[in-house]
Amino acid sequence: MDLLPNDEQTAIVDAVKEFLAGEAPVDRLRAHGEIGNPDSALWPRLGELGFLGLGIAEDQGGAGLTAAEEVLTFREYGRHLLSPAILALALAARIAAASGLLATPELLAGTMRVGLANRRGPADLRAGTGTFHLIEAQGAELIVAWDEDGAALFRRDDFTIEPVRSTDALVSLERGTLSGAQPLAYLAAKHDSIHDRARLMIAAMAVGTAEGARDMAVDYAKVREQFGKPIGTFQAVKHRCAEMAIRTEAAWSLTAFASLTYALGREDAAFMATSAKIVATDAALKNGASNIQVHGAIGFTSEADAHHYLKRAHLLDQLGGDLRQQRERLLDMPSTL
Amino acid sequence: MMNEDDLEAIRGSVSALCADFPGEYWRELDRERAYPTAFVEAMTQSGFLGALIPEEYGGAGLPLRAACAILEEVHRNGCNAGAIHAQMYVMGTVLKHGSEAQKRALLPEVASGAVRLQAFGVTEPTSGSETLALRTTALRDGDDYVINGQKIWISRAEHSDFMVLLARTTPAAEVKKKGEGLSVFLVDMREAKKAGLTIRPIRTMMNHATTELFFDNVRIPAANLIGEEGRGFRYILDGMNAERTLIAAECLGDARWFIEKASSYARDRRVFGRAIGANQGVQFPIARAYAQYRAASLMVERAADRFDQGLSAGEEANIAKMLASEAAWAAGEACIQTHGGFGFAEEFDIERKYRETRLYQVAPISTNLILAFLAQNALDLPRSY
Repeated sequence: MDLLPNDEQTAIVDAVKEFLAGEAPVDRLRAHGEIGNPDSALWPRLGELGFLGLGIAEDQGGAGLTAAEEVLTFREYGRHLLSPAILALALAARIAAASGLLATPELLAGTMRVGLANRRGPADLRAGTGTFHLIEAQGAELIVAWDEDGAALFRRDDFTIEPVRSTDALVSLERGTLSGAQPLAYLAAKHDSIHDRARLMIAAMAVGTAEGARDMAVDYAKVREQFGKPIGTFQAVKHRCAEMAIRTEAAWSLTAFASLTYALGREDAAFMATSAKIVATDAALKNGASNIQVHGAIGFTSEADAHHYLKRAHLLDQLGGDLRQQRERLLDMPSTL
Repeated sequence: MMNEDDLEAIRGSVSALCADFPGEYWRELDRERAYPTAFVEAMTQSGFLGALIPEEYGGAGLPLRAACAILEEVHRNGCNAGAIHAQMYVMGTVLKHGSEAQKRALLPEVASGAVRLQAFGVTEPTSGSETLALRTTALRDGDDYVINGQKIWISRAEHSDFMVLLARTTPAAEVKKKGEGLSVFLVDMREAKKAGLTIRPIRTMMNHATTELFFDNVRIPAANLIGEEGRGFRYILDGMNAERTLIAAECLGDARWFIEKASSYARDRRVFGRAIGANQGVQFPIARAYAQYRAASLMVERAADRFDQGLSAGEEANIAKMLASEAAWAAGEACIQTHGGFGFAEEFDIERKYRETRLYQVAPISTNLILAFLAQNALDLPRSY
């Protein structure tokens, strides 16, 4: 196993970095206003560049690459606080392609909008029952849901929907109930463990979020002066920044490794994906909080972007099961030691 | 009630006594895992160990606050009260629940130090923290009780003339309420050792005289039953609050010792052209430990005050023990880290104190059990175990 990115992977990362630096700077969110985000305009452009079908076979219109490449791009999406609808789009394209749905080209092109359904309790996706939090599903045509048994695509119209206010005002949140709606497509986990793939993509977004928070804190510590010197001179601040860096390094190393075990179909892939989600969301949560602390009072204002990282970290934690549920899953796995 | 001046006078005399027992004394004992006989002797002679025994039974009749001040000061001076503290509080079970005859016979002797009552036999290998699951039995046979079973982590058993023992007198299946069926006895260790009691010392990571006990048909007079048969668990619980508060006070002393040692070194030691204490990475952990120490200190005072006023003190004693043991550990961490390599050298005494203070997050009750107690009793959450 080669742990370092190859030339092709490096080229992908460079391309997505360049695109996001130009098109999705974090301050776009402030410019957009207090509620929602402008990211759905990015999807067709990412589709054009081929990023939405990275992990999908070439004969189905994708790039024929693996979860490892997807993870590399999702790390960058996380760093730019891209709407989690990008995850919905990638997962939906996968389900659609596997099921031979007509919508596959539109999903790969980013021209059809998809939201996420996150389970709130017991649900049966195949039977189309259960209650969910719908994330970024406003204005979406399709909604993707997944659990340990499989992944399903529904129409937004299949849900009975109530509005809910989200802590993270950048992201739309609703409560949706399914009462016996036939999924548009269903992909059983035994054919494709989408739930572990989703764990890896969320972990990668969390790593990016943790890195974004780290960079914001470090930049501020270098310019903000107190007692006549940059606050980064104080060890209490400097060491905190170092801890943020250590956390992201550990989270990224684990997530990258986990993506390779998944791509190679190794036996420990499920264990590694779960571990990566735990370590990465933990890093995102802690760095999100640390960034606010380094910023002091300004970190509490909406003018500073610090709060976005923490709120996004909480959202990523919730997606597909929070830290507690991931730890439980780990504990329930047969010992590999 | 004692005022701050009285407490300060007590601290002064404890401190003067401790000056005769410097680091070398403890280091040598530590190497040999030897009992601090001379220190115990001096503390006994000074009358400190009879602090909590009422004057009518020959003690000093001091409140728990004062006993806390004594033990905190012992630890603050770099000494260790592990060999003496139980002589202060084990007698509490006799004092509260014993008969007048038992008190008259025993307490003056304990106060003078002529009799050592400093072993408390509760924990067993199979039951651990689950006291009600203990299996040692005491069965009535004529004028005697016959004891069979095993105890573990019984401190100072080799250095005690008497032990307060908790044993089952009614099988668990036959009691009406879960907490019943256990009884408390005074065991004369000198006699028991001749007829069925075996004591096996356990070597530990620090110099603490702890043992494992084996009772094989040990007979003790029925007159040695304390209080009523079957109510022993309740009696023992009473005594535990005093024990926890006193040990919390020792932790405060450890915290003070570590903090003073670390601060002094951080002021003097120069690296990169300035005192290492000028680094926030060095001074903040010490400052944080100090804040933890101050908070724990208030909790210990509160627990002792409530105990002294006869109010319920379970919650306060437990919180005090938890916070103080954690403050001491934080201070120990800061101290050893501040000293760099020297922290590991025996002659600085830090590594010894560090090993010693680690115990208090486990004994006399573990932090987990304290959290479980608070969750259940203070917060009315469902019992978790």
